[in-house]
Amino acid sequence: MTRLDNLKRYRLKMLIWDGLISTALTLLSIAMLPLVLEFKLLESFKVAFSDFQITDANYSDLRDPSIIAADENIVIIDIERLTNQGLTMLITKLNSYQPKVIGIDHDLEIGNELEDLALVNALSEIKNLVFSELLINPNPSTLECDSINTSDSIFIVNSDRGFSNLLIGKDKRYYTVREFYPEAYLNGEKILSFPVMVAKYFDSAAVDKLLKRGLKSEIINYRGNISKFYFQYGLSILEGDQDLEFVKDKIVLLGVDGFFRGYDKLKDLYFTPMNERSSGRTFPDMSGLVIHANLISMICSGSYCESMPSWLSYLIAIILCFTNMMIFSYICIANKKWFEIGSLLIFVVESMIILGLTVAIFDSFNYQMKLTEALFAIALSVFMFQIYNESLKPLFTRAYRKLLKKG
Amino acid sequence: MLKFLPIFFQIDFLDPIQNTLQDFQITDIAFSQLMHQDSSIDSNIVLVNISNLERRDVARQIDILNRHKPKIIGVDGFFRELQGVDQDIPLARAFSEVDRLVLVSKISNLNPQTRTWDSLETSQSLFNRYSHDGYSNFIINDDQFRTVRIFTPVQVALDTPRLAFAVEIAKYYRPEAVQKFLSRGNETEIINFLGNSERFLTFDYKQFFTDSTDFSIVKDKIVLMGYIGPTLNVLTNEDMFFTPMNDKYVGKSYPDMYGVVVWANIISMILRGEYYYQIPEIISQILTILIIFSNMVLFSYLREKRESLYEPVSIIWTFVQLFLLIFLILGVFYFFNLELKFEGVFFALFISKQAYETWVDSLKVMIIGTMPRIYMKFFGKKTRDAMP
Repeated sequence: MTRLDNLKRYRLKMLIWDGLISTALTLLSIAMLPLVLEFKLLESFKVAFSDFQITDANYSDLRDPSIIAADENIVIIDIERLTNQGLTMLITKLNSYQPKVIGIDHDLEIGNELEDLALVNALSEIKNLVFSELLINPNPSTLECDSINTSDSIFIVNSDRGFSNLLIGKDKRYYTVREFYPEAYLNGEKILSFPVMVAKYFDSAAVDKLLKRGLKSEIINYRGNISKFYFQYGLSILEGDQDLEFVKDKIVLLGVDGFFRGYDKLKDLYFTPMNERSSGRTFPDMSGLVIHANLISMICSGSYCESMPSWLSYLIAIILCFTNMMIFSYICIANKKWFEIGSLLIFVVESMIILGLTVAIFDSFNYQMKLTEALFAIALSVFMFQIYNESLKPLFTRAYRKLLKKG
Repeated sequence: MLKFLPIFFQIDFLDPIQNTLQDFQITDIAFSQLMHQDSSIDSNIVLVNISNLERRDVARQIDILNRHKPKIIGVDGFFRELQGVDQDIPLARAFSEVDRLVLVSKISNLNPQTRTWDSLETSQSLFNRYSHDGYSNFIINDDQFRTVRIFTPVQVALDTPRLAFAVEIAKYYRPEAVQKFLSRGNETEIINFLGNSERFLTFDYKQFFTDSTDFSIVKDKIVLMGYIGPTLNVLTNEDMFFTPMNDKYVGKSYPDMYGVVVWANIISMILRGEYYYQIPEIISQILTILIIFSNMVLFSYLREKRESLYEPVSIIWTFVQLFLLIFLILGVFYFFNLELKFEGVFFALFISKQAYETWVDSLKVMIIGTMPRIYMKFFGKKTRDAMP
């Protein structure tokens, strides 16, 4: 081996070490970035950017709602303005057509004693009945809570229950509903969510498949807003003479959507990726009732989205960052004047590829690639390469030589 | 892989960042987090929620209010179609008995050459024959989703200068304040928000159907009637806007203010005489150029004299400037009611280091390297011939 070969090997070794150190510095900078947004004045930015996801573009820009079929297994009935007496009549009428399961996503309260009794009787006639309940202050990490809010006890006595919380640990005024929790814990005991409980009566095998996945949270694969389900107004059903044959063997969800009210009460609505504006100022777009319908539809059809594990996200970030460092080193050695333009081009091309791939793979394979860390890594790699090679490395080299001289 | 190619052309990847940032202005931080943290109210203005009441019930509200002699009543609601005598006659009669009444109008069809409006829409003549009118249009950019920060005091519609709804009302309440306001001669004015409906005396629609409410406080006041929710302050998507008072000044949140409350804020601003000033566009541009140029000088100095410090100092100094600018803009806005329009500076600062390096390390080197060759190619023979 010639002296030149040895020199080349030594240089390559140094380059690899330089690449590793500057990659480490880049990852350290990414880890420290959230600290910048810890100032109270910048909290709104922190919330806004933490709610951002690339894959929202799939719903707003890629998906054509007209080609997505409605789910004919689910019937949503808006029960706003119905008294307990009206609800009794509605439930009696619906039950006569033998739906597979009735889910009530609404708090029932006691009022007139006679009316309440009639309602209790009507509810007791339902073969499969699920009520929603609300977990109080669930812990977002453990999903543990110690109390729940339910309808009055006389109504729920012969029913199953499932929790209806959609955003745990996040304020619905600022965050988008992208995932749901199939299970939670009440005083240590496992409880299932409302859509899971309802789906269980319709297709228990589908629910088993969901629970076998063993995930703490599932990405919601939205079908669509109210137009993707069979939707009726309870008051119209009572006032009209409709044949409700379509309800037979179906899932019936009773709750309040507000569609027939003519205006939306914002507190009843959530932001979802289906919003025509995926970021920035917008009105919330979907009621909790319709989100539950989407969840039941997803569970029964088994069309889940998979997500890249965190370790893989970090590994890709490290590999991309290190590769960039090596490319930058090569450009600097081969022809330094191309470094600035070259590094910019590399950043733009890599970012476009990452963003495009993320969206395309989610669209085609329902697989969510979590490459936010990789995006930040390639953005910061340019700066860290320069900081390391032009400032830190010469500084450390000088200091090391001084130490050697003294020694 | 090629089948994914069309996706690059279907998606605007910058859309999420664009949407988030273009809805935002730095001065929103001042309104949202710093200003009007006290609980003072403007007692000149009384808000009345008309909810989804029928016209004859709105007439009832007006009758009750009118008994207590308010100075002026403004109704932020259109009465376009006739709804039958049992609804329309009571309302028209109630309107006729109000001393001073202002209804909203709407200007539309802007003539781009003359900058005047060709259409003016008002309520039915049955109702507006008893009233003055003020246009109710807010200025909302297409790319800023229902965000209200500014308004126009005067616009020309059908060849006649028209006042905005709030200005028309304030004119009858305190003419000298409106005169002072209009003498500023600004085409647009930044709204100096006082706060939401809790900053004004407010009545819900239900209170007009009980006997227990005392309405005597409306005497000699401005009464603004409009939609403030199905019941007071229940947020809906009807006539709701985002304003800088929103507790989240960027990103997703619920809209925070009903249109009639925005008008109340504008009236309050005119009566208080607390306006904002804007530096002229040309001064903003000059300052931007100066700031960027001084950065380039600093970068050059560091490269010449302190090359090892160039990278860390340039990055740190860029971020320090960004933060200093934010605090400067906020401080000047908060203490001096002056708006510095420096949005361009932020972007320029952000890319200044990269632009400097691209020029000095790449483009300049390439151009200087290429020039001798071009020179020799075009002038080389003559030069060689000319040489002794």
